[in-house]
Amino acid sequence: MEDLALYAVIAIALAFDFTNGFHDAANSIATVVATRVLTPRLAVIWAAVFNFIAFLVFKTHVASTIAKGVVEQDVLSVGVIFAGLIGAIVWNLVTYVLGLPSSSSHALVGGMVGAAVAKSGFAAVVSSGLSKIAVFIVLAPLTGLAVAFIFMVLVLRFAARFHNVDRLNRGFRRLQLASAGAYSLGHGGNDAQKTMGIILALLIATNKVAPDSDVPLWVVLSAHTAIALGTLSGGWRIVHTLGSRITKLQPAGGVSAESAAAATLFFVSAHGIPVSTTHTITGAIVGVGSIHRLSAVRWGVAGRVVWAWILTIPGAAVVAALSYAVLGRF
Amino acid sequence: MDRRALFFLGAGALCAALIAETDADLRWVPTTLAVIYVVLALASYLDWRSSNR
Repeated sequence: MEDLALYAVIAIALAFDFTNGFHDAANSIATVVATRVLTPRLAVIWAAVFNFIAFLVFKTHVASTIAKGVVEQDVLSVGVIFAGLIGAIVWNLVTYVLGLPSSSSHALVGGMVGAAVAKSGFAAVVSSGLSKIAVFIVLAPLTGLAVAFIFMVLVLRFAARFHNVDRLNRGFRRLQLASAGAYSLGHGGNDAQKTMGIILALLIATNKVAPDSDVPLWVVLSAHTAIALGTLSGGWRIVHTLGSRITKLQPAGGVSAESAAAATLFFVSAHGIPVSTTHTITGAIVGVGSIHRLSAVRWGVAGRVVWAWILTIPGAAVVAALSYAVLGRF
Repeated sequence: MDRRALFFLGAGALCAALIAETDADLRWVPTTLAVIYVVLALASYLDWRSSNR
Protein backbone atom coordinates (compact mmCIF):
# COMPACT_ATOMS: atom_id res chain seq x y z
CA MET A 1 0.00 0.00 0.00
CA GLU A 2 2.87 2.35 0.90
CA ASP A 3 4.56 1.55 -2.42
CA LEU A 4 1.36 2.36 -4.29
CA ALA A 5 1.16 5.75 -2.53
CA LEU A 6 4.86 6.35 -3.30
CA TYR A 7 4.40 5.66 -7.01
CA ALA A 8 1.26 7.81 -7.13
CA VAL A 9 3.05 10.80 -5.56
CA ILE A 10 6.05 10.31 -7.89
CA ALA A 11 3.59 10.42 -10.81
CA ILE A 12 2.07 13.66 -9.45
CA ALA A 13 5.58 15.16 -9.07
CA LEU A 14 6.40 14.27 -12.68
CA ALA A 15 3.05 15.71 -13.81
CA PHE A 16 3.96 18.92 -11.95
CA ASP A 17 7.29 18.92 -13.86
CA PHE A 18 5.43 18.38 -17.15
CA THR A 19 3.18 21.39 -16.50
CA ASN A 20 6.28 23.44 -15.65
CA GLY A 21 7.72 22.71 -19.10
CA PHE A 22 4.31 23.33 -20.70
CA HIS A 23 3.92 26.67 -18.93
CA ASP A 24 7.50 27.97 -19.17
CA ALA A 25 8.33 27.00 -22.75
CA ALA A 26 7.20 30.41 -23.97
CA ASN A 27 9.91 32.09 -21.89
CA SER A 28 12.69 30.48 -23.89
CA ILE A 29 11.15 30.52 -27.35
CA ALA A 30 9.57 34.00 -27.11
CA THR A 31 12.21 35.96 -28.95
CA VAL A 32 13.22 33.35 -31.54
CA VAL A 33 9.58 33.01 -32.58
CA ALA A 34 8.83 36.74 -32.48
CA THR A 35 11.81 37.50 -34.73
CA ARG A 36 11.03 34.50 -37.00
CA VAL A 37 14.42 32.89 -36.53
CA LEU A 38 12.56 29.59 -36.00
CA THR A 39 8.97 28.50 -36.50
CA PRO A 40 7.09 27.92 -33.22
CA ARG A 41 7.27 24.14 -33.69
CA LEU A 42 11.02 24.12 -34.34
CA ALA A 43 11.57 26.55 -31.48
CA VAL A 44 9.89 24.29 -28.92
CA ILE A 45 11.88 21.30 -30.18
CA TRP A 46 15.01 23.42 -29.75
CA ALA A 47 13.99 24.38 -26.18
CA ALA A 48 12.96 20.81 -25.27
CA VAL A 49 16.27 19.34 -26.44
CA PHE A 50 18.20 21.79 -24.25
CA ASN A 51 15.78 21.17 -21.34
CA PHE A 52 16.60 17.48 -21.62
CA ILE A 53 20.39 17.61 -22.06
CA ALA A 54 20.74 19.93 -19.04
CA PHE A 55 21.39 16.83 -16.90
CA LEU A 56 24.71 16.41 -18.72
CA VAL A 57 25.79 19.92 -17.65
CA PHE A 58 24.56 20.46 -14.10
CA LYS A 59 25.16 18.48 -10.95
CA THR A 60 22.17 17.82 -8.71
CA HIS A 61 22.81 20.49 -6.04
CA VAL A 62 19.37 22.07 -6.47
CA ALA A 63 17.69 18.67 -6.03
CA SER A 64 19.66 18.11 -2.83
CA THR A 65 18.56 21.51 -1.50
CA ILE A 66 14.90 20.69 -2.15
CA ALA A 67 15.18 17.18 -0.66
CA LYS A 68 17.37 17.97 2.34
CA GLY A 69 17.59 21.74 2.79
CA VAL A 70 13.99 22.95 3.22
CA VAL A 71 12.39 20.58 5.71
CA GLU A 72 14.00 18.36 8.36
CA GLN A 73 14.35 14.87 6.90
CA ASP A 74 12.76 13.04 9.82
CA VAL A 75 9.54 14.98 9.20
CA LEU A 76 9.27 13.97 5.55
CA SER A 77 6.69 11.35 4.68
CA VAL A 78 4.63 10.47 1.63
CA GLY A 79 1.70 12.36 3.20
CA VAL A 80 3.75 15.52 3.83
CA ILE A 81 5.13 15.57 0.29
CA PHE A 82 1.72 14.79 -1.21
CA ALA A 83 0.13 17.65 0.76
CA GLY A 84 3.02 19.91 -0.28
CA LEU A 85 2.45 19.08 -3.95
CA ILE A 86 -1.29 19.68 -3.58
CA GLY A 87 -0.53 23.06 -1.96
CA ALA A 88 1.76 24.02 -4.86
CA ILE A 89 -0.65 22.85 -7.55
CA VAL A 90 -3.71 24.54 -5.99
CA TRP A 91 -1.74 27.77 -5.44
CA ASN A 92 -0.58 27.70 -9.09
CA LEU A 93 -4.17 27.24 -10.27
CA VAL A 94 -5.48 30.06 -8.05
CA THR A 95 -2.77 32.49 -9.17
CA TYR A 96 -3.30 31.44 -12.81
CA VAL A 97 -6.96 32.44 -12.48
CA LEU A 98 -6.00 35.69 -10.71
CA GLY A 99 -3.35 36.49 -13.33
CA LEU A 100 -0.54 36.57 -10.77
CA PRO A 101 2.76 35.37 -12.31
CA SER A 102 3.64 33.14 -9.38
CA SER A 103 6.57 30.77 -9.44
CA SER A 104 5.99 27.00 -9.41
CA SER A 105 9.31 26.66 -7.63
CA HIS A 106 8.39 28.99 -4.79
CA ALA A 107 4.99 27.31 -4.58
CA LEU A 108 6.70 23.93 -4.24
CA VAL A 109 8.95 25.18 -1.44
CA GLY A 110 5.99 26.86 0.28
CA GLY A 111 3.93 23.70 -0.06
CA MET A 112 6.60 21.51 1.54
CA VAL A 113 7.10 24.00 4.38
CA GLY A 114 3.35 24.30 5.04
CA ALA A 115 2.76 20.54 5.12
CA ALA A 116 5.80 19.95 7.35
CA VAL A 117 4.75 22.69 9.78
CA ALA A 118 1.24 21.22 9.91
CA LYS A 119 2.77 17.87 10.89
CA SER A 120 5.50 18.89 13.35
CA GLY A 121 5.42 22.62 13.95
CA PHE A 122 7.95 25.26 12.96
CA ALA A 123 10.88 23.15 14.21
CA ALA A 124 10.38 21.09 11.03
CA VAL A 125 11.71 23.91 8.87
CA VAL A 126 15.42 24.16 7.99
CA SER A 127 15.57 27.91 8.49
CA SER A 128 19.03 28.38 6.89
CA GLY A 129 17.89 26.61 3.71
CA LEU A 130 14.62 28.50 3.57
CA SER A 131 16.29 31.87 4.11
CA LYS A 132 18.77 31.14 1.28
CA ILE A 133 15.86 30.41 -1.05
CA ALA A 134 13.92 33.47 0.17
CA VAL A 135 16.89 35.81 -0.38
CA PHE A 136 17.38 34.55 -3.94
CA ILE A 137 13.68 34.99 -4.74
CA VAL A 138 14.63 38.67 -4.85
CA LEU A 139 18.28 38.44 -5.89
CA ALA A 140 17.83 36.19 -8.95
CA PRO A 141 15.59 38.63 -10.91
CA LEU A 142 17.72 41.58 -9.77
CA THR A 143 20.84 39.77 -11.00
CA GLY A 144 19.14 39.04 -14.34
CA LEU A 145 18.10 42.69 -14.59
CA ALA A 146 21.56 44.13 -13.88
CA VAL A 147 23.42 41.64 -16.10
CA ALA A 148 20.95 42.14 -18.99
CA PHE A 149 21.27 45.93 -18.70
CA ILE A 150 25.08 45.68 -18.82
CA PHE A 151 24.96 43.20 -21.75
CA MET A 152 22.64 45.57 -23.60
CA VAL A 153 24.96 48.55 -23.05
CA LEU A 154 27.86 46.48 -24.43
CA VAL A 155 25.75 45.28 -27.39
CA LEU A 156 24.71 48.85 -28.26
CA ARG A 157 28.30 50.07 -28.08
CA PHE A 158 29.34 47.20 -30.36
CA ALA A 159 26.44 47.85 -32.74
CA ALA A 160 27.30 51.55 -32.99
CA ARG A 161 30.52 50.59 -34.80
CA PHE A 162 28.62 48.66 -37.47
CA HIS A 163 27.38 50.40 -40.60
CA ASN A 164 25.70 47.38 -42.17
CA VAL A 165 22.52 47.13 -40.04
CA ASP A 166 21.08 44.17 -42.02
CA ARG A 167 24.22 42.13 -41.45
CA LEU A 168 24.18 43.04 -37.77
CA ASN A 169 20.55 41.95 -37.38
CA ARG A 170 21.29 38.68 -39.16
CA GLY A 171 24.13 38.09 -36.71
CA PHE A 172 21.91 38.71 -33.69
CA ARG A 173 19.17 36.50 -35.10
CA ARG A 174 21.69 33.65 -35.28
CA LEU A 175 22.99 34.43 -31.81
CA GLN A 176 19.43 34.10 -30.51
CA LEU A 177 19.62 30.38 -31.25
CA ALA A 178 22.56 30.12 -28.86
CA SER A 179 21.06 32.38 -26.18
CA ALA A 180 17.64 30.64 -26.29
CA GLY A 181 19.44 27.28 -26.07
CA ALA A 182 21.48 28.48 -23.09
CA TYR A 183 18.36 29.76 -21.33
CA SER A 184 16.55 26.44 -21.94
CA LEU A 185 19.60 24.65 -20.56
CA GLY A 186 19.43 26.79 -17.40
CA HIS A 187 15.67 26.30 -17.18
CA GLY A 188 15.99 22.51 -17.45
CA GLY A 189 18.91 22.52 -15.01
CA ASN A 190 17.08 24.43 -12.27
CA ASP A 191 13.43 23.46 -12.70
CA ALA A 192 13.76 19.73 -13.44
CA GLN A 193 15.91 19.42 -10.33
CA LYS A 194 13.05 20.60 -8.12
CA THR A 195 11.09 17.53 -9.17
CA MET A 196 14.17 15.38 -8.66
CA GLY A 197 14.41 16.83 -5.15
CA ILE A 198 10.79 15.94 -4.40
CA ILE A 199 11.26 12.38 -5.67
CA LEU A 200 14.55 12.03 -3.76
CA ALA A 201 12.77 13.21 -0.59
CA LEU A 202 10.06 10.59 -1.19
CA LEU A 203 12.64 7.84 -1.69
CA ILE A 204 14.46 8.86 1.50
CA ALA A 205 11.20 9.09 3.47
CA THR A 206 10.23 5.56 2.41
CA ASN A 207 13.76 4.18 3.03
CA LYS A 208 14.23 3.30 -0.65
CA VAL A 209 17.56 5.15 -0.65
CA ALA A 210 19.94 6.24 2.11
CA PRO A 211 19.51 9.81 3.47
CA ASP A 212 22.94 10.86 2.18
CA SER A 213 22.56 9.32 -1.26
CA ASP A 214 22.70 11.16 -4.58
CA VAL A 215 19.76 11.44 -6.95
CA PRO A 216 19.36 8.07 -8.76
CA LEU A 217 19.89 8.24 -12.53
CA TRP A 218 16.34 7.08 -13.32
CA VAL A 219 15.02 10.05 -11.31
CA VAL A 220 17.31 12.47 -13.19
CA LEU A 221 16.27 11.10 -16.57
CA SER A 222 12.55 10.95 -15.79
CA ALA A 223 12.49 14.55 -14.46
CA HIS A 224 14.28 15.89 -17.55
CA THR A 225 12.05 13.80 -19.83
CA ALA A 226 8.91 15.17 -18.13
CA ILE A 227 9.94 18.82 -18.43
CA ALA A 228 11.09 18.35 -22.04
CA LEU A 229 7.81 16.63 -22.99
CA GLY A 230 5.90 19.45 -21.31
CA THR A 231 7.83 22.00 -23.34
CA LEU A 232 7.19 20.00 -26.53
CA SER A 233 3.47 19.65 -25.99
CA GLY A 234 2.65 23.06 -24.59
CA GLY A 235 5.07 25.57 -25.93
CA TRP A 236 3.88 25.94 -29.48
CA ARG A 237 0.42 26.93 -28.34
CA ILE A 238 1.68 29.63 -25.98
CA VAL A 239 3.04 32.00 -28.55
CA HIS A 240 1.86 35.28 -27.05
CA THR A 241 5.16 35.89 -25.45
CA LEU A 242 6.52 37.09 -22.17
CA GLY A 243 8.81 39.34 -24.18
CA SER A 244 6.04 41.32 -25.82
CA ARG A 245 3.99 41.43 -22.61
CA ILE A 246 6.71 43.29 -20.71
CA THR A 247 8.52 45.24 -23.38
CA LYS A 248 8.97 44.95 -27.12
CA LEU A 249 12.17 43.02 -27.82
CA GLN A 250 14.45 43.22 -30.85
CA PRO A 251 16.97 40.43 -31.66
CA ALA A 252 19.79 42.22 -29.81
CA GLY A 253 17.56 42.66 -26.74
CA GLY A 254 16.49 39.02 -26.91
CA VAL A 255 20.10 37.85 -26.99
CA SER A 256 21.00 40.09 -24.03
CA ALA A 257 17.98 39.08 -21.92
CA GLU A 258 18.32 35.35 -22.56
CA SER A 259 22.10 35.36 -22.03
CA ALA A 260 21.75 37.29 -18.77
CA ALA A 261 19.00 34.97 -17.51
CA ALA A 262 21.02 31.90 -18.58
CA ALA A 263 24.13 33.19 -16.76
CA THR A 264 22.05 33.80 -13.61
CA LEU A 265 20.49 30.32 -13.78
CA PHE A 266 23.86 28.65 -14.36
CA PHE A 267 25.21 30.44 -11.27
CA VAL A 268 22.34 29.62 -8.91
CA SER A 269 22.14 26.01 -10.14
CA ALA A 270 25.86 25.54 -9.48
CA HIS A 271 25.25 26.78 -5.92
CA GLY A 272 22.19 24.56 -5.39
CA ILE A 273 19.71 27.41 -5.12
CA PRO A 274 16.20 26.83 -6.51
CA VAL A 275 14.92 30.03 -8.13
CA SER A 276 12.05 31.05 -10.34
CA THR A 277 13.22 30.81 -13.95
CA THR A 278 10.23 32.92 -15.03
CA HIS A 279 11.05 35.74 -12.60
CA THR A 280 14.71 35.60 -13.66
CA ILE A 281 13.92 36.09 -17.36
CA THR A 282 11.32 38.74 -16.40
CA GLY A 283 14.04 40.66 -14.54
CA ALA A 284 16.36 40.34 -17.54
CA ILE A 285 13.67 41.60 -19.94
CA VAL A 286 13.00 44.58 -17.65
CA GLY A 287 16.77 45.25 -17.72
CA VAL A 288 16.78 45.31 -21.52
CA GLY A 289 13.58 47.39 -21.63
CA SER A 290 14.96 50.01 -19.27
CA ILE A 291 18.04 50.67 -21.40
CA HIS A 292 16.36 53.61 -23.13
CA ARG A 293 13.70 54.73 -20.69
CA LEU A 294 11.67 53.19 -17.90
CA SER A 295 8.41 53.90 -19.70
CA ALA A 296 9.38 51.18 -22.24
CA VAL A 297 8.67 48.67 -19.46
CA ARG A 298 5.11 47.65 -18.73
CA TRP A 299 5.38 47.99 -14.99
CA GLY A 300 2.02 46.35 -14.32
CA VAL A 301 3.50 42.93 -15.16
CA ALA A 302 6.73 43.61 -13.26
CA GLY A 303 4.70 44.85 -10.25
CA ARG A 304 2.60 41.68 -10.22
CA VAL A 305 5.86 39.69 -10.06
CA VAL A 306 6.70 41.54 -6.84
CA TRP A 307 3.32 40.57 -5.36
CA ALA A 308 4.03 37.00 -6.42
CA TRP A 309 7.37 37.17 -4.53
CA ILE A 310 5.58 38.18 -1.35
CA LEU A 311 2.54 35.92 -1.49
CA THR A 312 3.62 32.62 -3.04
CA ILE A 313 5.52 30.83 -0.24
CA PRO A 314 3.03 31.76 2.54
CA GLY A 315 0.04 31.17 0.24
CA ALA A 316 1.16 27.71 -0.92
CA ALA A 317 2.18 26.89 2.66
CA VAL A 318 -1.31 27.64 3.99
CA VAL A 319 -2.97 25.53 1.26
CA ALA A 320 -0.55 22.65 1.91
CA ALA A 321 -1.09 22.85 5.68
CA LEU A 322 -4.86 22.68 5.15
CA SER A 323 -4.39 19.76 2.74
CA TYR A 324 -2.28 17.93 5.32
CA ALA A 325 -4.88 18.54 8.01
CA VAL A 326 -7.66 17.24 5.74
CA LEU A 327 -5.58 14.21 4.65
CA GLY A 328 -4.90 13.41 8.31
CA ARG A 329 -8.61 12.79 8.83
CA PHE A 330 -8.61 9.86 6.38
CA MET B 1 13.81 63.85 -12.19
CA ASP B 2 15.52 60.69 -13.49
CA ARG B 3 13.18 57.86 -12.58
CA ARG B 4 15.59 55.22 -13.88
CA ALA B 5 18.35 56.38 -11.51
CA LEU B 6 15.88 56.24 -8.61
CA PHE B 7 14.81 52.76 -9.66
CA PHE B 8 18.43 51.56 -9.74
CA LEU B 9 19.08 53.21 -6.39
CA GLY B 10 16.06 51.40 -4.92
CA ALA B 11 17.28 48.09 -6.34
CA GLY B 12 20.73 48.77 -4.86
CA ALA B 13 19.20 49.52 -1.46
CA LEU B 14 17.21 46.28 -1.62
CA CYS B 15 20.37 44.28 -2.41
CA ALA B 16 22.24 46.03 0.41
CA ALA B 17 19.40 45.19 2.81
CA LEU B 18 19.74 41.51 1.87
CA ILE B 19 23.49 41.29 2.57
CA ALA B 20 22.99 40.45 6.24
CA GLU B 21 20.35 37.81 5.40
CA THR B 22 22.56 35.99 2.88
CA ASP B 23 24.79 33.01 3.73
CA ALA B 24 28.38 34.06 4.41
CA ASP B 25 29.76 32.23 1.37
CA LEU B 26 27.32 34.00 -0.97
CA ARG B 27 27.33 37.42 0.68
CA TRP B 28 29.46 38.79 -2.15
CA VAL B 29 26.47 38.40 -4.51
CA PRO B 30 24.17 41.06 -2.95
CA THR B 31 27.23 43.19 -2.12
CA THR B 32 28.40 43.20 -5.75
CA LEU B 33 24.85 43.79 -6.99
CA ALA B 34 24.38 46.73 -4.61
CA VAL B 35 27.60 48.32 -5.90
CA ILE B 36 26.61 47.68 -9.55
CA TYR B 37 23.18 49.24 -9.01
CA VAL B 38 24.67 52.34 -7.36
CA VAL B 39 27.08 52.71 -10.31
CA LEU B 40 24.19 52.23 -12.77
CA ALA B 41 22.13 54.83 -10.86
CA LEU B 42 24.99 57.32 -11.05
CA ALA B 43 25.60 56.63 -14.75
CA SER B 44 21.88 56.91 -15.46
CA TYR B 45 21.63 60.22 -13.60
CA LEU B 46 24.65 61.66 -15.46
CA ASP B 47 23.16 60.48 -18.78
CA TRP B 48 19.81 62.11 -17.90
CA ARG B 49 21.48 65.35 -16.81
CA SER B 50 23.57 65.63 -19.97
CA SER B 51 20.58 64.98 -22.24
CA ASN B 52 18.46 67.57 -20.39
CA ARG B 53 20.94 70.43 -20.69
